[in-house]
Amino acid sequence: MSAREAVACVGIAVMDLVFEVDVLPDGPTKHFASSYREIGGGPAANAAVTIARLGGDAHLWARVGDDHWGRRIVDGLQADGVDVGAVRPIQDGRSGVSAVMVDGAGERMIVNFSDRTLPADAAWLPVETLSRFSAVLSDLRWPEAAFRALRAARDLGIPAVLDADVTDRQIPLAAAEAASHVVFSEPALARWSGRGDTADGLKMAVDRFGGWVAVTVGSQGAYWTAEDEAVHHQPAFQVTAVDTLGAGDVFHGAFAGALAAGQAETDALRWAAGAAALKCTRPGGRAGIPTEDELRRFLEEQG
Amino acid sequence: MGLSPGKLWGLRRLADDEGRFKMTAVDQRPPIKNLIKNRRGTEEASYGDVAAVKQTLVRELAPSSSALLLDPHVAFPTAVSLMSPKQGLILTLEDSIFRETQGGRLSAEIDHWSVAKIKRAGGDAVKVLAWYRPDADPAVCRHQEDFVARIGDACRRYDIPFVFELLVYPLPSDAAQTKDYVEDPGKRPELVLESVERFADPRFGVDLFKLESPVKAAEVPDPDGDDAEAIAATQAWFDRLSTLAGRPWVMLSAGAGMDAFRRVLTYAYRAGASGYLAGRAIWWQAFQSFPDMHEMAAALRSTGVPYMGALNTLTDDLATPWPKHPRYGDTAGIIAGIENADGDFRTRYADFDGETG
Repeated sequence: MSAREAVACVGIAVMDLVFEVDVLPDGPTKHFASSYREIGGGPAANAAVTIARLGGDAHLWARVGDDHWGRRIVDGLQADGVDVGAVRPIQDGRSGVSAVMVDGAGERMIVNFSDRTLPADAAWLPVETLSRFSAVLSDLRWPEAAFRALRAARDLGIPAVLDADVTDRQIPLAAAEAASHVVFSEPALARWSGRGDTADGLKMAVDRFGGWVAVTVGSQGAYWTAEDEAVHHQPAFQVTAVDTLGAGDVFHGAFAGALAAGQAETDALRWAAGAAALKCTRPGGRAGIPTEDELRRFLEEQG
Repeated sequence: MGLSPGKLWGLRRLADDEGRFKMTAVDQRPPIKNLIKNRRGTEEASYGDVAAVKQTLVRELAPSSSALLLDPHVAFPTAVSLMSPKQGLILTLEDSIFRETQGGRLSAEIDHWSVAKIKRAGGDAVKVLAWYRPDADPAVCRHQEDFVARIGDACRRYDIPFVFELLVYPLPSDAAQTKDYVEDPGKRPELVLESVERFADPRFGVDLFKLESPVKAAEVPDPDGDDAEAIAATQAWFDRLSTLAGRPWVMLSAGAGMDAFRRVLTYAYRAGASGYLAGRAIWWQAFQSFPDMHEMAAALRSTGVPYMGALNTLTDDLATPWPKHPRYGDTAGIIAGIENADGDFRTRYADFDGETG
């Protein structure tokens, strides 16, 4: 990905407050953390940072609260090179935050707050500017925005990628139909299709959505299929993982960025698998997302 | 494949703009009358009580519905004006009182009521329930099949959609017995599938199946749960049901509870169903407030309407819009239209040429 193709990432941006503890809390009393850090999160936001790190022109379209955390989220994204012109602070809204406790074995306990009163209306999204974008990637945490942005991208004939992960509702058919590429997580495909077999789930998705559908299966890599109904496999790169948090978001961001740069799906999947693998080898959330040069070197080494 | 004009327009009237059926049944007779008799301590349920219940159901639930199913005794004459004209109207044709014989149940039309009258009254579709057991006495099966075929023929002649509901039931020889309008406690999936397979034959002219869960509702596992084996096995029954139906179909609730019905719907939608036509799963809980109609309306607003909201979101997310059912359309955007659409349109219905308006 050499040129600065613009990609709009649509969905949520949140802040994780990560407390490292010896033992996960088990009762209503005070617990002490050995360390504390703040890490920006949210599928669309993490994907946008990935695209920027890999040399793309990343834009985030999202809502935050007009509160302390909203400003921290936006500042963090800007520092990572993401265009935040269409991140709207919602008056009297509250930003999404999670308290994450992690013990020495990497086990997590998470308390999340999402402001359900944030207006769902996505009419203000600047879809009229998409003619100068080369791809759209959306998560499903804001379904109205996902549908609107993906549909607009599809109408313009640019890649429209849906990150179909598990949320509190089913995968909205309208958003999935609007997408040119749907990338499920393994649990999301199983939950949506009711089929234990990945190939059966993919076939059902292609029947329902048309277009191109993939599923990411952790260390097994990704499987995908399209109208020809054959199931193809992109193996994952074998690495020693130290931090898998956000690896899926990195995969989606790298994949959409590569499509934006004009790569074929098979090349984009390899690019994405490499980015996710490298990220997993490093601790520290977004700090572990590789640069374009690092990823190129890694893929050359892998042959 | 296209549809005849009346059937196409009727089906479109029943569904929302995207082609998904969110239909509320208010045509129940015995279940409503029995509770009223019980509460009032009377031999019969009064017309006024039944009407008050049906009016309250229509008033509170119509706004969440793409169509309503009404009966010609009470709901249609007393509550149709409470519906929006944007909502589709299905009218019931079968008599709720069936004849129980040693060989099985025999169905019949409501007296003085017919497909022709439903069309004249402005109905968008005809609904018929037939009790059926493929293993019943062959004479009983033949009676039921003739009943359905006769109505299918009339729906073709009057060019109106035929919404056909199938329910299996206990034969007199079965261990588990019920005469109520509830799921057969001894239901086996094979009986449901074989019944659907029989009535999928084109001679019955069914346009939209209203089907029960092939698996007993209480035994349907959480579709989002962890028991992958049970989920896959349950899904396989629904998949076979959908394939055998061979045309758009919706799920019925048959007295299932709210949670059970939502679980059932997920499997149905994964299999290809296009919506629901449900009553008691939505309003039975609120109906327990009878005879306090004010309380019943409040309960519908606090439980029934939010429940329909959840069902409708699930339906939007997962149900197949009926014009995209493989029988009519495909995912490439070709959707159901009028068969043989051309300039000779007005020469159709030649069998009506002798009738002057």
